[in-house]
Amino acid sequence: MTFVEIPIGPQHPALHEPILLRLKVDGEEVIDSEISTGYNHRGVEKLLEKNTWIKSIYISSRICGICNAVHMQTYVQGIERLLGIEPPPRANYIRTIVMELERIHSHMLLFAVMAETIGFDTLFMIVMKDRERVMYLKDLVTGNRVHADIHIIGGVKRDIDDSKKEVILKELAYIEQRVKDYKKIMHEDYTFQKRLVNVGYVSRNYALKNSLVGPPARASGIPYDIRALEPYAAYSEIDFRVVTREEGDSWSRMMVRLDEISESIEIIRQALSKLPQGSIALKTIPRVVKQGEYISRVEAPRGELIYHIVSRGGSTPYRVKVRTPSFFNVLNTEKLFIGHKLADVPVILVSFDPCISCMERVLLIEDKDKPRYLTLKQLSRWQPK
Amino acid sequence: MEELGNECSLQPIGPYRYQCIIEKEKIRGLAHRLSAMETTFLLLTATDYPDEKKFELTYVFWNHASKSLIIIKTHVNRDSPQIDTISDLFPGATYSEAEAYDLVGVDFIGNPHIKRGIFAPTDVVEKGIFPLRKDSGV
Repeated sequence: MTFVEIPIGPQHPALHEPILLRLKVDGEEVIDSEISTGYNHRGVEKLLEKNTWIKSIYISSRICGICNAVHMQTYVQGIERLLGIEPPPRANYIRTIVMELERIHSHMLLFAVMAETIGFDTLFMIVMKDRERVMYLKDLVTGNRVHADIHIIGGVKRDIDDSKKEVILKELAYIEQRVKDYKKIMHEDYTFQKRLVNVGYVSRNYALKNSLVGPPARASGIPYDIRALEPYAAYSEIDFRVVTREEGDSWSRMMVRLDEISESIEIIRQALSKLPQGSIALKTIPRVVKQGEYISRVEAPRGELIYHIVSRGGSTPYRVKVRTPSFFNVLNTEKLFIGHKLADVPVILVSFDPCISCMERVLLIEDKDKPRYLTLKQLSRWQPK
Repeated sequence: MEELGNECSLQPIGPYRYQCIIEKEKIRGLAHRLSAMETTFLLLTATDYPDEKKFELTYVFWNHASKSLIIIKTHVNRDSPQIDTISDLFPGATYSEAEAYDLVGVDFIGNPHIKRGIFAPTDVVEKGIFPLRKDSGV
């Protein structure tokens, strides 16, 4: 059989981060696919082992720019369990609010990217403009627009007062209305229907066997949400619905995310109304992390995020294994492109919300024998061997 | 949880969390039983303990029926780090095993994706360094 091999990536207009898809196509149809990774060398797991407990918290939040607060939550929550302490209730509620704001802007970003991928650039700009309001809220609550950095061991750094509450509720009402409009577009727009419905179908069994997590699993009918299954922060005291759908295609994965934005808005409203009085951080925390290990799980916007933290009692963690949702959602779906048209490949990939920075966090950053220092001029002329 | 049989006695280590430590030869038998129980593979951590001359492998599964976390620990010798793959029973584990090989150097017999350079950069691979080993000099 004759076929043509087409590389998409590592740098490609349809992909926003470096990843290489090697596709074999017969005419327009994809007959085989393979994913190549390794274009983001960052060495974070080693870096976490080399830094003290306190310093490594800030490194962990830099694994991903979009979902930084959940990375911090997972790591800090793991350390708190190892220390045997529990943050004050008010801190838990503030953490929940920040993480839900993050979920809203992450899902809005993906919706915008999907609109751009299918050639609907106007919608991309409209959604990104609306998303900026959520970024403003994050800035208001945490003091930072992108990297929240609000967690500390045993609490949070900043409090929410009544004037902030008022602004958050006002902006959320606006976002809620906009999300209704997005859902209407998803249902009625010809381009969305044509490009997303029945594209990239994932069966329930496939999702179970291949360990898919987050919206891709929930869009295939698996109610797998750590917020409900193993509540952390303040989720055990908040009433919310785990959004699931049965269709399993790219359209349903996007719809799950849009429905989750509405749920997140509800969660933030509840959290603000129930916000307990009291301090936002423990006054004293133990200085030494005892020997032990803990598997910390949190529901990130993209799915379940796991940190396996091993301590041997020193000033640094002995081993930190980070399992991000994209690791499964991207690598384990490499064969799903088979049978689809070449033009559908970016749509399917985007519908899994790939976060390549999250996925490739485990590599060497420095070689002891040969440190590399390049001037800007050398760097501009640098060519791979 | 009774379906896991005599091969492993699960000890509760927290709410809805169970753990057991097994010999490495039993991993396939256990994975067979787990795969029949609507269980999803979640995590594989390889940790290096050079002073005890072993690698510790931590497999984490989620059982959808009992909504509990099952943690299986096993150890392989540091001089001949080999263990049978479970990637045919749990396809989701394929790349986790490949990652454990590429970065720590534990060989999973039967996994088709076992090769160097999937996650590690080429200069590290050429030197034969497994970056997440404690004596890798990184």
